[in-house]
Amino acid sequence: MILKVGQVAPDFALKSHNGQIVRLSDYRDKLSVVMAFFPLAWTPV
Amino acid sequence: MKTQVLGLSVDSRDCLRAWAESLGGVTYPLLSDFYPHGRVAQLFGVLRSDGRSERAIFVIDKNGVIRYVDVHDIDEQPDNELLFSVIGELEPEAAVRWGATQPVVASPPPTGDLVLYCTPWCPDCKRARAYLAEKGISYIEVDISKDRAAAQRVRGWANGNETTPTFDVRGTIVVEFERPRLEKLLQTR
Repeated sequence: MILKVGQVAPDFALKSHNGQIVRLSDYRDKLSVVMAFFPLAWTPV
Repeated sequence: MKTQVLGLSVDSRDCLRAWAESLGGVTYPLLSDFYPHGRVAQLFGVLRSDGRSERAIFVIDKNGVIRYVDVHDIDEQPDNELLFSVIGELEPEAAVRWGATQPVVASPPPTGDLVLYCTPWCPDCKRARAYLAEKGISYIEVDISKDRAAAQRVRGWANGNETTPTFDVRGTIVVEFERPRLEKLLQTR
């Protein structure tokens, strides 16, 4: 169920902490993207 | 920097904003996957049953294709060196700017027409070796139980698992001994 290398990443639109809507497709043909999921704010390792 | 970092969590935007302020600001967007709860985490397969996401990294190239996946132990920091090496393969300039002092790869992967990632005890690896010998195909073998940098590469290809055998046929990765797919790839050499 975890997505795999070689698959196309699904697009999404989420609001950032700055209040902007960010879409993965914003970066298509422009930049590589590192998506870093983290469990919760305020819980450093 | 030619690589965009996005942080994602199921926290609300207010919470993320407050946290960013407490850290003195962050240089990349923190995205709120709050409503619908964890929908994007779910899309990527990393929403946990306790409602949080895993500590996971996906590297997406400019064509929108996933090139690296690391789902990490939730209580640990993921390995930055390996991440830099993957980014470096996609964006060499970014690797330098992020402070990787060596050229790009933490441990240079072997080059050759066929690289076989194995362990000494794995039965499918034995089958793979026998098959390649039968076909007269030469290859470089990497023992991932000893070469831990290679093990991390395999984890990046095999969704966090050290799956063997894993084949690198001139840059095309085949995880497990998928004979039909392998035969097709090897024929085109």
